[in-house]
Amino acid sequence: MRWFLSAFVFCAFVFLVLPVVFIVWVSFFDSVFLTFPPPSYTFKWFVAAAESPVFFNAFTVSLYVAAMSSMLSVCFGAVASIALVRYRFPGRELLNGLLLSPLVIPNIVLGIALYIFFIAIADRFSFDATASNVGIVIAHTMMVLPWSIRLIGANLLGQDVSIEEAASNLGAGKWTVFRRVTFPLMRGGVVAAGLFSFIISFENLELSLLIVSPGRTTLPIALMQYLEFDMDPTIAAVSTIQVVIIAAVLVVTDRFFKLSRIV
Amino acid sequence: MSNLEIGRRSLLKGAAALTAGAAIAPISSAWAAKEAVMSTWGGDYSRLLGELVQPIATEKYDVTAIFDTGSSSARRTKVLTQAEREVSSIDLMAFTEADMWLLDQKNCVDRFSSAEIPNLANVYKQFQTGYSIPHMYSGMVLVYNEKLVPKPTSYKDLWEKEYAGKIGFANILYRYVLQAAAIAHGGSMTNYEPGYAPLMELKKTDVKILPSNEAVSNAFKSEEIGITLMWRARAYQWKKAGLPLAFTVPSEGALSYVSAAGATRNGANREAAHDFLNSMLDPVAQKGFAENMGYMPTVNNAPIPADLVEKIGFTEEEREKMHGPNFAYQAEQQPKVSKWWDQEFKA
Repeated sequence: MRWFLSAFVFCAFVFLVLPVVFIVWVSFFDSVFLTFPPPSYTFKWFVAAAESPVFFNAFTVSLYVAAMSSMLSVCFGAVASIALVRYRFPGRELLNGLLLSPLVIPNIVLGIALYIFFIAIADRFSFDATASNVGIVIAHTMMVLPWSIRLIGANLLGQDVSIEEAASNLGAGKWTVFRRVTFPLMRGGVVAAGLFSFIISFENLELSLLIVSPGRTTLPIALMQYLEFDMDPTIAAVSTIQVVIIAAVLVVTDRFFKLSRIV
Repeated sequence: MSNLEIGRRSLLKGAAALTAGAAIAPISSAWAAKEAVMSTWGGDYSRLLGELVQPIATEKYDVTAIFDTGSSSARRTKVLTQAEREVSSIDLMAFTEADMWLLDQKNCVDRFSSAEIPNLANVYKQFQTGYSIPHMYSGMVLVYNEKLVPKPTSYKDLWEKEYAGKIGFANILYRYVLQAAAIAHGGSMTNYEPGYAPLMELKKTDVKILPSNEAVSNAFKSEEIGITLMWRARAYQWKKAGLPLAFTVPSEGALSYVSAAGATRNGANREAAHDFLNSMLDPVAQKGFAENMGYMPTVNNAPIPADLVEKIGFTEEEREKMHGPNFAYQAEQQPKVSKWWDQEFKA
């Protein structure tokens, strides 16, 4: 039984990792076409990706949007999680459902709805969120907020409330209790929420398609658009760079916060 | 702390101001004079618009286009959403001719005259619509590997026994496959019926349905297939990339594809939009697109080199013989065609 379980876990791991391995492998093929085995190997697709201003600009937009939306979602998510986990109030379940609702709405539907909403706002208040990064940051924050709430909330649930009560009994004010006790205890959840939010935002395509402003594009959109007219492994090279960056973020984060304990 | 040191609070304040500024500042004001927002495909298409059309628009009209790139479906949704606004933030749009027809039906497209877009006078008559400019065109030709199959001459040749087991179609081109089959068997662009039964017969010869155009090119590379129906421009790119392919313009006349562009009915920068559309029809830009993308110019004053015509072109006779879509019939038939393809042909 133990042998069977190990084999199953190994197969599942291979199943998950194999597509990434293939992408990295293909990015070195010295051929425009996907034929196995490749005629030879090359770095030229990485050079092409690095020299492309479209990919570079798209990368910076994605980085900016992911950083902003993960930061905002962690801030709002932390506040919402504390309210939902630590307090009982009328409408708590409704609020919980509303905050998690973006999870059950397909991103493309969310994108259309938000686009219509932003246009309505622009008509009434002369502020067009779709003309700048404001719209896409708001949209991505909405999209990743449920993840922050779930991760920070789960972390809070696992904490012993009596420690906070002890601090209060010893004379600490609410802010001091939060700063000195609650926040340090929920730090693991905050880091996990930030990471998940960043990665989900960075790789999002469907929502960004509708909301991204003229003159800008995100990396997933740039990759998809490249494929409309070209078929070489440049996009595999860009994806490999993306995988390496995200892996590096995970490794560095793991040095400071043991990810295995929080996810 | 010395005066030169930056405190944690001021650093945070500065970072917040910077990020807020970056978030709110638009790339460029789409409402300024001589600027126009253009909804378009990204990738090579928007790159070439920037490299080939933009310099002409800048030099002749002092117009700058800001490209809003994305998939056709997302961009169509944006245009439709803004159709009822007093002023749309989108001034220009590039779509397939079918999408442009649909948007015109929904009253989203500006109807212009050749006085507003002078280069329209040079456009081949068969591509003129009154609501859009034809930016470039290509045709659905027979693409084959000379090593594997004999040279075909018509769409109907696909039903000859020497091609059995060697045919592959891109799934996304299903509508065109049916149109070609219909034309080969006495149908037309307003009558697809004669195409259904022959395609079901063809299916028995082990036709391969490949998920994308790229999958078709890979199947040619691995010699899994020997012949397909494909846009000549796309096949030209495959040949440039090293595939040993040849093309035949079918004797029945090729199906045509036109990449169109137009102005939104309620765009804020109508004049700038017209100037940019006129620049797209400029002979220099037209030649540039032919050389780089393999699509033919739609104007009669942009002659391209004979060797390039050989690779991407259609003779005058072949162009005039092309079958352009009847959009109303196509839209009416679409549900039936896609259902038949998915549930019967591919089953």
